[in-house]
Amino acid sequence: MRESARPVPRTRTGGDGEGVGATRVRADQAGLRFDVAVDRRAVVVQMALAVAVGECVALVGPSGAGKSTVLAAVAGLLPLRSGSVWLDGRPLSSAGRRPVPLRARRVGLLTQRPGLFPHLDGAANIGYSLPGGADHPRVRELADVLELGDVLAARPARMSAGQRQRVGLARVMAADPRALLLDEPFSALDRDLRDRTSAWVADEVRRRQVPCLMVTHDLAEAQRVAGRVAVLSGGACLQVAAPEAVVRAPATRAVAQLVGYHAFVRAELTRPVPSTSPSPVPPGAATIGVHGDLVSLMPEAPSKPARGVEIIGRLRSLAASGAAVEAFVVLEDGSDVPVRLPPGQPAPAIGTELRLLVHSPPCFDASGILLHGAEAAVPAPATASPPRRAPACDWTTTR
Amino acid sequence: MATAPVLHPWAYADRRNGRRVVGVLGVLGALGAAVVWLALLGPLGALLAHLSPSAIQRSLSAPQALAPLVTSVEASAVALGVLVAAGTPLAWAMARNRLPAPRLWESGVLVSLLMPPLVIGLLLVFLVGPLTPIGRGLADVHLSASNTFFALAVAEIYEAAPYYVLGASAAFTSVEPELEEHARLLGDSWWRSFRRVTLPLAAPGLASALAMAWARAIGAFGAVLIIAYHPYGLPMQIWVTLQQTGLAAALPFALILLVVALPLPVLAYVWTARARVASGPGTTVGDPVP
Repeated sequence: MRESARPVPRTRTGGDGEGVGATRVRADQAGLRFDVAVDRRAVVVQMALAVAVGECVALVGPSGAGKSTVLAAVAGLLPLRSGSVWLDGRPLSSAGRRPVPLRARRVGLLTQRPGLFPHLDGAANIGYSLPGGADHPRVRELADVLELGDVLAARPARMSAGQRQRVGLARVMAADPRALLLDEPFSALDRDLRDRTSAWVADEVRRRQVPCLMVTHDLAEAQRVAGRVAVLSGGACLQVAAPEAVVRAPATRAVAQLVGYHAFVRAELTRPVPSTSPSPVPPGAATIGVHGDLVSLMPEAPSKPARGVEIIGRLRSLAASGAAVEAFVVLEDGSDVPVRLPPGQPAPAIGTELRLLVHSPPCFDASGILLHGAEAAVPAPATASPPRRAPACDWTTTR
Repeated sequence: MATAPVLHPWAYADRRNGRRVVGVLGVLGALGAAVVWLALLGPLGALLAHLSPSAIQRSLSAPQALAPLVTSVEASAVALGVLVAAGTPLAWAMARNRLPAPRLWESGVLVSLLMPPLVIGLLLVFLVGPLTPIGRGLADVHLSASNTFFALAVAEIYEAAPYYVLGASAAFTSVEPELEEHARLLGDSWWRSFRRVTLPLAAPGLASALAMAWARAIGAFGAVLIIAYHPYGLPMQIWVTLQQTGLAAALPFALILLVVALPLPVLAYVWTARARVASGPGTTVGDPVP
């Protein structure tokens, strides 16, 4: 491991005038700060964010959401339509001005195709930015940590996709960047290696005290590495919050869909939404989100009143999932929800009507905005057993 | 995950059909290629068949017989030097779309490729001949673009330039700009990234462009015939010998021209092929785990 001296994060005062109101980070503060709009294939990708030193923020969203575009804009590869990028209090790019040249930005970018130099072997690729190149001791250290000893003498054409990805990561880390921009850095790695590599990256981000922006489509990976998650869709940033908050309280239905809510069920609010809500709605129509991880079969004889919302569905199919069995239940809106069956119970017959318990579901108003602190219940159909009214959404979150 | 590949029956039938078609096409293609190859190499065989050692000796032992060789090699070297110095930046700018109206530049180079060499020669007379403004300017620095070594080099440059520029441009295009960006993000200046990444990756293509330009330059005849009849280069020597003495006397000079013109292209080809094998494009994605 390297022991490079890191400057203490600077906290000089003043200089708030340059402006990213939404992120409220002073221009001279250490870390990465940007508020950019970039033209990309007829869509304007727009995002503002401040990443502190030692912090990792994950960009999640569907493909085409603009995640890689944001990285490219911050790295300086795309011209800004408006806005600016600051790193450690230094302006890197500003719309309409000459950006700091790539070589002087000290930003480490790992793209999805790692872009290794095909005429250089692994060691020369890793040591590209180092004096002495492949012979620099840091090459060997990085290769040991990332388990790349076998490919130091191989050209990229002879490497597997996972090896190329790690050589690319090592090459970026060797250059001692002041900010890390990683685009799906572990996508070609198998699970064990992915866990080890992502843990190492998270450690390095803390140890080197650099801001890190990481694109991923895997929320679990984001939870392991990142302290915050930014959800992007259609070129817009929909929510920035801790991974757990994004999952438990998605700001909108669109975010909910992106973080794994499979179905949205019509429900009725059981009491008026607190007045703190931006758009007070009368008790009545709302929808609750159903997440596969937050739904279970309703216990036959609950020992204590269940907390959650009961919904009715019909069993469509069963599938093995590891050691457990997953039931696919069709809800009223036609959507499928996967439900893990409790072990040791006989599987119900296909077509059976099942009562499901949705734990603490988020409630959305008609326009799809999260209703903080709302409670809802699903009116039972006439044929079903009498409705069990349970409080829902009784947890509150801060935006 | 070890999921067995699902082979749709239609896909299988298509593949078999495809294979059968490829088989027939393969045989036809090989036959056609052999015919074309023999036809292309036929003249070379004829040359070797009609040369006798005594004829070579007689032709080359004449006084000043080797002067055209020296002239040709020198003029071609000058022409190539000018081309590399001026054509490489143009080729790079064309490859990276750094020029306004890129199609215009490209078609300009193509026009000079498509113009018959004789026409180039005629037009050069009107451009740099002694009675033109440029010609008078050249005269002021004691140069003349008419029947001089300088004129020979100019004619060769015009004939070879499009081959070098287009070839070099293709070579630069084959280098992904992302690689240069990565090099610069890793701390390289533009020039350093060009030297460490662009140039090595474009080198095989540049070498073949250079070799092609060399062969065109040293064999240039059409434009040379009009503006640089003297001093004799090898092509002109062949032409004059053919006119004055006959076919048999011209053949040894043809052999010399081939011997001088061919090695560089052949070397460049061999090197390009080897470079391609060594650092070819990413083969298969392969297993994610080593």
